[in-house]
Amino acid sequence: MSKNKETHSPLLLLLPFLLVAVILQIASLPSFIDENRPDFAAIVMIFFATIVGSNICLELAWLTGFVIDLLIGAPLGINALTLCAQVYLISSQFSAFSKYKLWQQALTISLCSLIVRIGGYWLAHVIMQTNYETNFLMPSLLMGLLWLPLCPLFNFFVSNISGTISHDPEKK
Amino acid sequence: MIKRLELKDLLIHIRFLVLVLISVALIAVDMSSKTLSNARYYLETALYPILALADSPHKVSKMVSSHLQSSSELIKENERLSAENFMQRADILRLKSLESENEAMRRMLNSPIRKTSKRLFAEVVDVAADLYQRRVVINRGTGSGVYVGMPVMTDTGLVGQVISVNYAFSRVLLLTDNLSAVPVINTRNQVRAIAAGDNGNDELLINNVPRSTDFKVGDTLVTSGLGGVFPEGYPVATVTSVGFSESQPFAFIKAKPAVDATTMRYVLLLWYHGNGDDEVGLGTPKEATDGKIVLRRDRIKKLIESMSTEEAHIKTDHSEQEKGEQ
Repeated sequence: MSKNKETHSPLLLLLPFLLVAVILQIASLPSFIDENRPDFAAIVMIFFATIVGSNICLELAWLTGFVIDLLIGAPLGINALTLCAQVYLISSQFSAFSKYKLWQQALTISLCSLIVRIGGYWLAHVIMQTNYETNFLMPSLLMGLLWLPLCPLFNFFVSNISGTISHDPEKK
Repeated sequence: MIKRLELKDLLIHIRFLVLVLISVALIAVDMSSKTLSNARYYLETALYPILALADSPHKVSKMVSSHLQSSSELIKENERLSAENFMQRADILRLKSLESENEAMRRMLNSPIRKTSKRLFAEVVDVAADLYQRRVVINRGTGSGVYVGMPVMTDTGLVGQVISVNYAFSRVLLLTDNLSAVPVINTRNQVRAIAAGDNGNDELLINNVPRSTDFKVGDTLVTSGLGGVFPEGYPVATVTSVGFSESQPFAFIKAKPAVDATTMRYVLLLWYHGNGDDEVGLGTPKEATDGKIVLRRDRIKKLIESMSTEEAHIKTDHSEQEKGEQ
């Protein structure tokens, strides 16, 4: 009897999740969340980078950041750089990230986000006249806290809802 | 196996480095020149549906809340608006007589007559802007005749000016942005100053004002019309603090903008040309003020003028020679 081999392709869910994340990134939210807005697109890209690997996620993160730059009117390249830097840090410096416990992953993401945010603020300060900003900790903390419920949710969608590819040897 | 892993690690570093270099190059080009402005125009226009989608929850919530209003609330609001409309119509009657009196006086003094500027109503698209900039997005663009530098205001005062335009939407630079500087005049004593944005505190700073200048808390600042970008007489801000320091030659003055940009929903765009020639009709886009383009134009103009004067000299010489021969 031939058996159909089914493999899940998580990449099919990447674009819809990314679209939702980008919309949340630019949508108007209540003032407390607006001032401390976490990087939704980075959370989605980091999740898919841990599952799929960084083969395309680095470039895709850069493209997503580029799109965010166009949408919010920021100088082209600044959000692209910060988004891809977060994916790069997690992929290259924390190769066993997928094996960490959930709270360890959340802590790692918060730290990476904090470092990249400060770097992004420094870059913005160099290239344009920006005000003195001190609010880096809250958005990074929120990002880590958001990872705790979102990672299991993403895992649920990827394992149950993502597209399946059937391999039927008889059809060959 | 180990070599494959090392190669994979090296590859990710190289890829990241390439992306960093591309980002830095993009940032440098975008900030220093207008090379990418065309590409940005088309890309942002193509992405406008995402902006509209991001604004849709706010629109839906507003629609739902308006449907849930009770009839008594609607009747009260209707009465309030009718009374306000009636008072404003009465004010407009007097405004028309003042305008005709002003026109007659200008004719007597041989001054240019100002016509009413064309206005365009626009709605603010409720989306987040860059963290380090104070800008809002409005739902009018080049398709409606909007151009860069157009003044934007509400019924309470000046909001800012249009800083970038796409086909379906534009970005407005608010007064509180670091890049914004508005020439203002104190209505109490006609002292002129420049109100610059402070970005972080949502206040305006009145810079380079000598300590001896007469500014008081509560003074109203309106546009002075200098610079030709903003029409004169529109409220800009109210002075909130005046500070002096013995060691500083200038006063430290802060003002609160007349318009609360966080709550405004609708704005007006004005077609205004600072040479006093307010035309009724579609405005022309603001000319590029790139120094090189202006210099080239001046050189070409001078060359043409010099050639035309040379021709005139040659013609007069020929005519004189002919007269002499005769």
